[in-house]
Amino acid sequence: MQETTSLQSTWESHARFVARKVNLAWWLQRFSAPLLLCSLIGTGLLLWLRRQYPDLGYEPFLFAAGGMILVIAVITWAIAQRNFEKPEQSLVRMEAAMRLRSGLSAARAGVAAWPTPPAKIDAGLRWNWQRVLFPPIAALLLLVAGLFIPLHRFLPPVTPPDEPQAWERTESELAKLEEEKVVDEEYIEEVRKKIEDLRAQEPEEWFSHASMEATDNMRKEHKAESKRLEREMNQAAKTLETLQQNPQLGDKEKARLANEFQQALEGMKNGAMKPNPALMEQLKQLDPNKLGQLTPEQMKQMQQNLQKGAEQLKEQGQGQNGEGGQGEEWLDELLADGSHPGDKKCQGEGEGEGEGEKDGEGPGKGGVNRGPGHDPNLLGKASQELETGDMQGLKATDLSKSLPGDLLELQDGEHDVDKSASQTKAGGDVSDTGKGGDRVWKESLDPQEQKALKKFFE
Amino acid sequence: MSHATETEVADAAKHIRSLSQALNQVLFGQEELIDLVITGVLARGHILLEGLPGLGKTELVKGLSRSLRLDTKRVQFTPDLLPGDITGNPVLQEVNGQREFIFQPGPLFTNILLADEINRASPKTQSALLEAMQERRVTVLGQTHDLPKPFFVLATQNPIELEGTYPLPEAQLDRFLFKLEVTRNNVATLERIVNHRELGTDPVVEPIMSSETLDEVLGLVRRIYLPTPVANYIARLVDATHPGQSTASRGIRYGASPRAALSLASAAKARALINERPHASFEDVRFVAGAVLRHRIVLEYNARIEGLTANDLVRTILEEVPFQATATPRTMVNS
Repeated sequence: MQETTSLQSTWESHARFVARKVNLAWWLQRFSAPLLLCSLIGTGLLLWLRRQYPDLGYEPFLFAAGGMILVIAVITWAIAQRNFEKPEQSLVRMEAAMRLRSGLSAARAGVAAWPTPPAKIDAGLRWNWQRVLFPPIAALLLLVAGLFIPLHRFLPPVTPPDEPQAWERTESELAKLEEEKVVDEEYIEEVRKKIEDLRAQEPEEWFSHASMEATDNMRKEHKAESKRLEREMNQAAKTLETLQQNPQLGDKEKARLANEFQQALEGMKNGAMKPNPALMEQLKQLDPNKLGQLTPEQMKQMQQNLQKGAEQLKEQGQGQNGEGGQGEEWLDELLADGSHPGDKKCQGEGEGEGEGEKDGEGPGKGGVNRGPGHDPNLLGKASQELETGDMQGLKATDLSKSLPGDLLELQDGEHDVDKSASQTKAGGDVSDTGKGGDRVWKESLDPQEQKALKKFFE
Repeated sequence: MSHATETEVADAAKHIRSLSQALNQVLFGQEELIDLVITGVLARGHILLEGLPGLGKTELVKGLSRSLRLDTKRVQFTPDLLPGDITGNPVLQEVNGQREFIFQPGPLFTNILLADEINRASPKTQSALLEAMQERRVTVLGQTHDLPKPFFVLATQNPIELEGTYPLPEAQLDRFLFKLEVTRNNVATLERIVNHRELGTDPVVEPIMSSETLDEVLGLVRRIYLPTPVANYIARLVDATHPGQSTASRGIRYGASPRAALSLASAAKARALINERPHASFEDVRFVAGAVLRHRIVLEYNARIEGLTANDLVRTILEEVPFQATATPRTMVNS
């Protein structure tokens, strides 16, 4: 009796061991695919995090990876439980593998005695190491790669493009005008608002056609206003200077000067750009007809103020003129010549007054009395006409692809055409369906049966 | 019903061994066939023997009947045989001055019926056997008559000379527990036959079992324990014969019936008793699976054209269906 109990416990303990082994195998099977997938995603995430936050140490990543593996392990264990084997099922596996002729099942049911265990109890199972080891090793390698692959530091996003220089230049001019208090602040604010409106657009739109046109217009207006005010102030200053230096002028002359001063003053009042309010106030209080009644000191003071303002505006104007030099050269050159700005032939040395298309060698000088025809270089240099057999030198900018002196020749060519006449060769055939047994074989059997028969007779 | 004990099984096995030895003296070189015939008898099943003429089918049946002391009748099936010729007919007789129809039992009323060349009888006559084989009784003119116990049909059929034959319908084939193929003898066996037999004389067979002993043994077979995993294996095997249930079943048009599962269980139990075990095993099922299933599955046209036989498909199914019901994870392999 004791022996029977001992045999039973031996078999049952082995069955429990086999069940645990099989269940572990089931869990490993369920664990493999999610582990691989998550390590792939995790590796990507690790690389991204390391790039974004390069100063983070390895510890958070290791903890995160460990946590992820733990979560997957728990979930897959729960899923794998559906396939888990019980010890009594392992008993069947063992009796089948060891050919015990259902002796263990019968003994468990109490029908037969427990068989004596052999030297080696075998459930007929062994590990498939390839499937067991590949997923965890691959996952480990992926995570290690994610942790240790060298990465470039994260670069901040690309800065938006620099804004058009015209805005900056205009702003600096306005700042200077504001600092020197030459012009009215209302004008300065107005132009600044225009610049802010342009700047408020999306950076991609800053260099759009509309934006550039508006910028150009704003800039031209500003330049024109500066010049106009400079001129008006100069005019007023000159008038005052003349009056100051020639106190004995006649009434008629004085009236003319008063009129000029009056016009300059009106111009200053009505323009968009006005002189600074203090100067404007002084000028407004002056009666142009009583200019001669001002004391020489007052007149000198007034004239100096106007002169100073005009000079400051002139300085700005010079700066403005200088800016366009390089930027607009290309347009001038294009209009003048096309692709060769330095070519003297294109400077406009036409002979005679106006030329026809063939008589003249270059564009005319223009003017109301110019001859008929148009400037042949208006749309760039006229192309050289080539005839078959003509040779022309290659003008290559990339010397790595051609040699000096390389020539290009225009030749006559012909396509290779098959000139043989085409014709209809034959009509279609009607397939013979056969007769008798052959007909049955061809038409009465379904495709599967035909295939089977065909195979049989092959 | 209590399960058979090892002592009971050991006693019964002695008789069975004697029977086997006696039959091996009747038919030389057919040990497996004799084993299966005894298994079929112990499982109370009918057996269909298929083989060429002269291989000893009839001798085997006659030897079995003599060794078991059972009444045996032989019917040579022919196309003109009528159902009444085998079941029996009511005959007008005078009893106590009055004429009455008295039922005259036919050759069916016996313990072992040897139905020779069963496929030569018309379907009508063949179908008369259906009730007798399944219910073990016959009904004539509304009167039901029980057949003697035990009742076995051992039928033979010839795989050649198929002209003028009527192949047994599936329903009738399903009634046979086994379909056994009697194969030709090898040279050594033929030499033994020549040395020990005379043409026209029957071999002497001593009776081995009384009918009471046979009843006890047949009762013991029913008490053989069929473990649950083995029952499950039988169920999975039968299920695998149906199209779409296994790789091998691609060549099968119709699979085996639940009666096939019952036959497998019964035959496995008989096999366990022959092997002196009080419980059936997977190996017992495997041993009888071919004989039980081969005539119960209908092959696809393509499979027949490709030269596959029912035996091939059963063999493939046996290889495909594992003993244990639980699957093996892919992280392990069967060694």
